[in-house]
Amino acid sequence: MDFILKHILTFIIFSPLLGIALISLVPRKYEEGVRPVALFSSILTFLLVVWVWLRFHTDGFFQFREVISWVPSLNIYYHLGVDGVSLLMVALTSILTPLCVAGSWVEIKTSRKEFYIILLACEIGLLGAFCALDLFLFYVFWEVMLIPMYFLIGIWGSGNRIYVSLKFLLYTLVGSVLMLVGVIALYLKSGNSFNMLNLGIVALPKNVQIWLFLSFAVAFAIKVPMWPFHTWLPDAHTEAPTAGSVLLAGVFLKAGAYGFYRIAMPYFPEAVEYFRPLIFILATVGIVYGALVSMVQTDFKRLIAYSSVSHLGFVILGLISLNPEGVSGAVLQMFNHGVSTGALFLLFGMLYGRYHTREISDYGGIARIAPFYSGIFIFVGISSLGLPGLNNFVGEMLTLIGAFKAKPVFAIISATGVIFAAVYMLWAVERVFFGKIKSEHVKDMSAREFVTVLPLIILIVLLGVFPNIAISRISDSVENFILYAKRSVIDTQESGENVIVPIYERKEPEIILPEMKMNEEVKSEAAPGEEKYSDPVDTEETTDVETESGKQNDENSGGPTEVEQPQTETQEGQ
Amino acid sequence: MREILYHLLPAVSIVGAILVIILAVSWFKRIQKEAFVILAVAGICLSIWFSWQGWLGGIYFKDSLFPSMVIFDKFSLISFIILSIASILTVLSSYNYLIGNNLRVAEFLVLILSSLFGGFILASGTNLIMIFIGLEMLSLPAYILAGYDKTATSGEASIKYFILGAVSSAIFLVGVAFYYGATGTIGLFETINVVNRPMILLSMTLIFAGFGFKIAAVPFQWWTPDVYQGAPLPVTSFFATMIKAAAFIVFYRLFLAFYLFSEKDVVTLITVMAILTMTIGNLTALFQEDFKRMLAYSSIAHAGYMLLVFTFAGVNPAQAKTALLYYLVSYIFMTGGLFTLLTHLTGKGNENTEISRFAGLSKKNPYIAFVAAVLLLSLAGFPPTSGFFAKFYIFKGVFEAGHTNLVIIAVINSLISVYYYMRPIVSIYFKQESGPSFEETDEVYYSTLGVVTLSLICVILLGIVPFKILTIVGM
Repeated sequence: MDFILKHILTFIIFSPLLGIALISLVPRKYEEGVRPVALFSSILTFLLVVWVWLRFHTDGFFQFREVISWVPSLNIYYHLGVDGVSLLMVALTSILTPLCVAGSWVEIKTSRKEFYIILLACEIGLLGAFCALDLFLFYVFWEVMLIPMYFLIGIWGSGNRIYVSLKFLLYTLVGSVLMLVGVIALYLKSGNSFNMLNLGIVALPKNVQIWLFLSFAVAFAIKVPMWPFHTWLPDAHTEAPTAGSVLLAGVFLKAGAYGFYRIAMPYFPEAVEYFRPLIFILATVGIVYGALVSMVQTDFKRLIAYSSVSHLGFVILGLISLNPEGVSGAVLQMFNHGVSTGALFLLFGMLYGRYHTREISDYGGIARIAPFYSGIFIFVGISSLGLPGLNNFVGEMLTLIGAFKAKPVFAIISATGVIFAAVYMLWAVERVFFGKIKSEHVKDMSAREFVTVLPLIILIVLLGVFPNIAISRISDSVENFILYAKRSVIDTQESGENVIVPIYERKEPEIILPEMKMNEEVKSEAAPGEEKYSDPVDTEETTDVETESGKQNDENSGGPTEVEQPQTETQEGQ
Repeated sequence: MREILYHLLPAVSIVGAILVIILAVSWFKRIQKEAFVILAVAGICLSIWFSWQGWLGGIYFKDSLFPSMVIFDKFSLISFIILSIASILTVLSSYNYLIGNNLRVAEFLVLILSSLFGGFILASGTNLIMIFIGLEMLSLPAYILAGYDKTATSGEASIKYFILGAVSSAIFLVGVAFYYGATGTIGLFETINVVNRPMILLSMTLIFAGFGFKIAAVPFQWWTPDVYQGAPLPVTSFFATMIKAAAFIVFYRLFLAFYLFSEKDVVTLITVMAILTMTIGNLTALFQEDFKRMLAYSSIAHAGYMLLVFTFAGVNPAQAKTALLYYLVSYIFMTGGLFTLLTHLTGKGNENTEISRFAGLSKKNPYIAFVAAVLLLSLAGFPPTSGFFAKFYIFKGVFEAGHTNLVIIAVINSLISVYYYMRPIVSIYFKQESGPSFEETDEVYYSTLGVVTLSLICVILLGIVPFKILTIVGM
């Protein structure tokens, strides 16, 4: 027992292996029997995660850590640990997987054994990527999650599945292979270390940061997907089986956002500063574009897919705002989107199982045929468009507040995404559930189907009413993220004046790193002609400069301690 | 004298096995054919054991009987083990094929073992004449093996391989002559006073060209697809694994020797060769319909990745050695495993190996389908298989040496390769059976099944716990 407690994360990550082993032992004659086995295994994983969730200290850094040397000659460790955000993502994965199993109960009729094995293998990759604290390990899990999803779409998908699965694989791989170059480069540049706790503490030169950031960010942007890298997503979502769509929308996309949160942004602060306007633009374009394109979709699954592009735009917008509101909102939005969109895909899977069409125009008046089902669907749809009181509202609201504090213009444009969301979702609901009855009569939701979505509905309400159960766990992690990612970014002060007249253009970005600062001081001492800081009396801007230099001094004195703080915490954790 | 013999035991046990098999086949007419296979495997295993003992003992055979001709250091001994493993895979996978096609078993094994012995000489030679002898020992049985099937395509493959092989040997010899002319010696790593630079460059180019044929590096790769396709399957596996590994091992020695003379030129030459080999191999493989041909081009591409090792071998020889040997081990299991799997599927005679024939395999034979998928994914470089780690190690080394662009070219190449490695997987898992596919037989070929399973286990284990093998290989 003690052993299990010490290696709880390993047990969580590899607990699906137990299911895989048991499933492969079931003879093909009794293939239907694999479903309860898979369900049992995924619920076991979920229970372990619940245990960790309850034991998680809200006041800590990375917890439940395990460090085992893996490849000593390359300094690669099997290093696991969770902070609030990873835990939230692990929880999301472990909640959605049993529901995927339940959702495919009758949908999958061919090679059930392989299906559940692949589903559980996918879970291993996802859980591992969220728990890994070693960059090499992270990369391995990052790739491990990819292959099962490829098979899931390719074997059990519909329509153009072979083309779509290959498109999904190649698109994602373009990012991954470039990321591999980035991983190797980061490893060599930071003293042959893959330790994600120490990487990025010592900032690299700016041009190196920019290239490394690009190599990571493209990989994550494809996965998220950020506009304009999103084109694989609608195809993959549409052709995937229900379980595949749920996992894709629910967790896969979050892996990309998590990559931004954990790796790309905290490690390369100067690159973040450099690319920040671009990311703001891409996120905003993604939000509006995704929402507008959703509106004109005729295929329901495609509609949900494009709405994901829009929702994930909010996540990126929140992350790049780099203030507590925005980032917590983004993390919450990651979880909420997983819950709501997962529920939408599960529910639509039920409808698809009855009518075998995805065209919105083929439906009509479902509310009169299946009132109970329609009620639940509309409830989830409303949560997805961000009705106050339900989960998505909290995330979107916080994100927009954060974005408004950072760059009001983008926040204002992005807010239209919320309106468009209401338009496309309500319009689609109207066309499918109301109006003339176009479809034949079928059974309403069965008890099994209701139980499948019940956990998600509970979460939708719970997180809408008490978002604090999640926020309290992520706040430390978020603070830490901002501390790192915002090292080179100086935002406008958060006073009322600045909100009214925002100063969002800055000529010279200030670098607050202690070593850099010292270098500059040495330079200025060496060349007295270029005394910038000591002799700023040129024009009327004196007051401005004074405040700025005052700020610099503050940061200069505060800088080193701030940077060192996580290190000490790390040591305590060890 | 005794000590010398003791050190020579790895090679002696191979020669012993050859002699015993030759004698047994001519003395006992009615001997079971399995006995030959057991003899051959026993001989190779004995050789592995002796090599391993020598490796552990750390006493090298050098300078005593044949001064500066061969050296049995740790590198040579570990190379012996790698070459032996590749040969064992071939021997085991060939048995069913030979019986099924009514071919002679004993002669086949003798040829394989002779070629292996040639590989040993190559791997341990420190003298260009020794290396030439090893090269011929390695190649001559291979020419016969390519035509062992006695079918038209097999004969064509044999002739093609022979003519081009002879040309490459000749080029190599001319290179040796220039080397002698430039330095006044034919030993590698000897202190040389007078160096004629243009002549040594010419010699280097010629010698590398000669070995370029053996490792199928561009622009000397033309024979590969035809020979790989025409030769009997186990022989193709032998070409792709053992012969390629032997050539790469000696290439490493030659490279280090030439690096002493002109570091810049060697690296430039190899870099260009590596880029061309990877790119052309991968791009051509995209359009192959035949699985054997696809694997042939894939082996060209992998030769390109392995050539990357030499871009940093001069700067960091220890790491380059580790990377090369680890890649070779992993490559032997991946490619050898896939060829054996193909032998397992085609069974008797059925030599048509189009990719479309894999359709529906996942239903008929889930285990073999799974192994094929894992091996192909490993070739494509997905973690947690050995193929990924091998590539990672090489890329890391290249990056460390400062060739960032080269790494980017290499990863883009491995991205391209994913497309064609996925095609058989698509066929196996995603497509329904339509048209001709591999016949089902009631017989179970245990030897091929064993090799396939071994490859699967090794590919996964090497990927998950690579550190043991890295330390062994790196010493």
